Amino acid sequence: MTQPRDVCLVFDTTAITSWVRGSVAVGETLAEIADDNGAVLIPLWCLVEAGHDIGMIDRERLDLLLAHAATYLIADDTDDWEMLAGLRALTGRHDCASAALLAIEMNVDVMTRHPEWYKAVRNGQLTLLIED
Amino acid sequence: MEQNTSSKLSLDEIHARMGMTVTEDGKARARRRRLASAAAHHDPEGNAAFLASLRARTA
Repeated sequence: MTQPRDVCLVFDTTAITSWVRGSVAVGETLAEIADDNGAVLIPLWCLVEAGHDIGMIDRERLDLLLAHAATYLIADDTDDWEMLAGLRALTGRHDCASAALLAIEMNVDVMTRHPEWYKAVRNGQLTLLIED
Repeated sequence: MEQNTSSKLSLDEIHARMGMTVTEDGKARARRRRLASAAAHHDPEGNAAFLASLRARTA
């Protein structure tokens, strides 16, 4: 029997690439959320962009992220395409649109190295900056 | 949300394979930062209104 987990955070592409590059700040955040029996959501498009950014060289580290007790890979709901299109217009990126929609729906923050990408969404009040 | 533990690894194993040192102090610091940010941004009604406005804009 597994216990339900509370969603605590969304990782965007930069949080995923930071993990791959060994960011202690991201590792500590993931570990403390796991200790709290919480969950971190990983939008599928952010994983795709991160895989592209790292050239899939560190594929094992992406696999370790997905194998982490606190992470859940989430694909967009097709019914949300209009809202995603609106958020794509506001952020300028489709991966950020997915991350922002998940964060707003779950009332949590997006962990990112680039808060400015989200400044047009909820006045930017949805980001947790990665500070290494 | 149900957790599928079949493909999950222990945190110690993951950190070892990443070559990452995660300390209790570091986790506590990360938790304080995350909770402070979440508290500052906590606005479910505002989020719901934003999503509603987004739907209206694209309808």
